[in-house]
Amino acid sequence: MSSPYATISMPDQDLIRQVAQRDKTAFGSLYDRYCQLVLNLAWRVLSERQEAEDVVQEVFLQVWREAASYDQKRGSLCAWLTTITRSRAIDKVRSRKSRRIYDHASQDILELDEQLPDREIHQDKNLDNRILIRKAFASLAREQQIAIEMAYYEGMSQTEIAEALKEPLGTIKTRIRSGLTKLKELIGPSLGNRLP
Amino acid sequence: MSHEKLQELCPVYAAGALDGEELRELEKHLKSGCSICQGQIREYREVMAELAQRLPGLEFSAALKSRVMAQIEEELPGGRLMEFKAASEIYGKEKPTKAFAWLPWACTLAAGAVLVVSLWYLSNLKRELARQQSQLGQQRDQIYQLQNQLEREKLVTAFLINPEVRVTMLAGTAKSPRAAGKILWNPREKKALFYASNLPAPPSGKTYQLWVFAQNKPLAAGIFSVDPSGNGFLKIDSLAEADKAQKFAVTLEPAGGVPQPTGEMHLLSLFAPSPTLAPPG
Repeated sequence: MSSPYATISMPDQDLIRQVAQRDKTAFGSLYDRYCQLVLNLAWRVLSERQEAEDVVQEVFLQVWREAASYDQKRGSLCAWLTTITRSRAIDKVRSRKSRRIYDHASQDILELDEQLPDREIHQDKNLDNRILIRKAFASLAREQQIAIEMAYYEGMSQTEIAEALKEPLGTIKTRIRSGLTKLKELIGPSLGNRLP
Repeated sequence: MSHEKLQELCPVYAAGALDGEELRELEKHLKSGCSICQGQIREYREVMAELAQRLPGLEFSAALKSRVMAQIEEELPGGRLMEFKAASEIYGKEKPTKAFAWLPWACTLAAGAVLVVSLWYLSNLKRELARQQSQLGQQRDQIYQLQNQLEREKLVTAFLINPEVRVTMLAGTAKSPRAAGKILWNPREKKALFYASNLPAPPSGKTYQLWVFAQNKPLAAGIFSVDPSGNGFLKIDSLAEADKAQKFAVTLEPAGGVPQPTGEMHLLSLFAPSPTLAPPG
């Protein structure tokens, strides 16, 4: 088993390799590294703490069981975890009788983004990465933000979004595409070698 | 479908919104092994993963980690227990001489004591690390909130010193008699800041929407949420028909807002907008 001091600073790909070899210490470090991200994402989709914690358990159990099948060529560990988390959280939302559609919690987050200092993104190299991401998202048109939020966090399809917003399907598709393309341009440099 | 069209669907697919025939076609195309589209989807998924990092933090509990660790412990193929049993069997098979019969027991006890102390020390270290990480996270959030507050206050100050800015008060209707609102607006620049207080929390699927009435027609000015105390804030960068504004109102509408008011009115400006403020001094 690895020492906890060695795994804390271990790169993601080494950490997941250790986890695949049933190294509990490595798994503990991986959990500490990504628990907050997984919990926040699950909570954002579900708005229920208990359900979000259930998702955290399910996601990390899946990581423990399937660590050997993780392929770095298909994406970063962070992207793999967010994909699993979103998928599990949205499954839970869909299994509920009533479904929450774009509510004030979503607005709160968009407003949080809006309240950021209005400065050039690339000049703020010393700012926390999270602030950079928020600023990048805040720089999108409101309609683009809403379409992306509805798709990614509410699990709505382009057709459902178009119906909910009473907009043509093509418009929704364009909003998501152009929004994500702009985000990729803005966030891309901070992703470094995580992009192929 | 052309490859160019399929490529255009990649970001929509990565956001999880693609459906119907387009989804089937793109998935078929991906299965055929198109490395360009696979690469694009991978890139957009990385962007979505980054985006998740902007989400507000929920404090996580140590109990949750214990549950997760206990769960994976159950998944281990009983290895530790079996190893321990095997070791005890080995000790059992060896026949120590009488004079040193106590030695294996003493060694086991000493090793056990060292292990207990080490585990205790390690668990303390881990707890301390977790506590400090949590404290650091809280301090970061505080700095971030203070930065936001400062920026907002700067914005309000810069806005207020402009003599063209007008102030209009809104009163709560019968639906929200305790609610009140205030809008600071610049008719020429079409910018405005709106504050509301004591509004009831909107039900799920609903949001508050601000309206400006110009030439007796309501025009959407923005949607806003309220905090647990019922306070709301809205910054408007382009207030429609600001130079012709007659009154303002707030209604409760379906989430995402609507083009025309349909819901109950909670705030309304009772009087015509005040005249331009006199320049200070």
